[in-house]
Amino acid sequence: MPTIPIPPVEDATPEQRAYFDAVLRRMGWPTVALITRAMAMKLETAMAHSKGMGLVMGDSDALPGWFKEMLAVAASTVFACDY
Amino acid sequence: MQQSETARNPEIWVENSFVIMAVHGLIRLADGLRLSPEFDPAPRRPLMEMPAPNEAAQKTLADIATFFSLDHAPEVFRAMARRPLYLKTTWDFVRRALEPDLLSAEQKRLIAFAVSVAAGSDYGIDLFAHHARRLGASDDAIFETLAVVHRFAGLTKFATSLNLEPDRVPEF
Repeated sequence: MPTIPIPPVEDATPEQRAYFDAVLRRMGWPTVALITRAMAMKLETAMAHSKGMGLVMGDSDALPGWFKEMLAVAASTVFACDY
Repeated sequence: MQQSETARNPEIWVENSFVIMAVHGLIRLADGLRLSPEFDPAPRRPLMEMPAPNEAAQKTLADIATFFSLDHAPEVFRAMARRPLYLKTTWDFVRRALEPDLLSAEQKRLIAFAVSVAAGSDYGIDLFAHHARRLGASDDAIFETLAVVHRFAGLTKFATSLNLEPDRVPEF
């Protein structure tokens, strides 16, 4: 269980909803992830993070985005993070 | 096979997990033995002397050297020659995990490099960056791999610090 209450999507402000929509579009997720909702509690910081994340995780000339997801799984496994 | 189709194949994720498993085991062993990096030797004093391999171990080490296109097997395998059967069974698994299949050899070395960076293994970083480059990985690919690890080093701590539970995984 999270250490703080994470507001449901229904309680999001219009700005937070726009952020959620942008993340869903970029990630291709069907629903807003818990971590996205948690980050949106500090929206400007979340947006700054998301912008950088999109840059790092997207397709590039050197590596495709899908392979970067595999690298992310590798790193997260070593960092022992179930999430 | 299209890239998006590749990522939707559950087998490639299992393959990825086997690379993670094989490499994380190897580098923990290498660092546990305090082996010096293969290609950029640092002044490390190994935990124990390298054993003299018997005939069976020599054959396995020769296979390993060929696989990695090196004059000799990396030290982490040479250290295992103390127990030739342990070396053989470990190598049988590591070879299968690292040989190209759905993922290319270069991609597997980059995954191995990411595991090594995340684990903070000088030995693994040195070994797998060298091999990834040898197989054609550019500096951009190496840097972008580092950038993913960098991002997830932070992201995973964000999730852990708030004890966030994993979301339900959408079906492939």
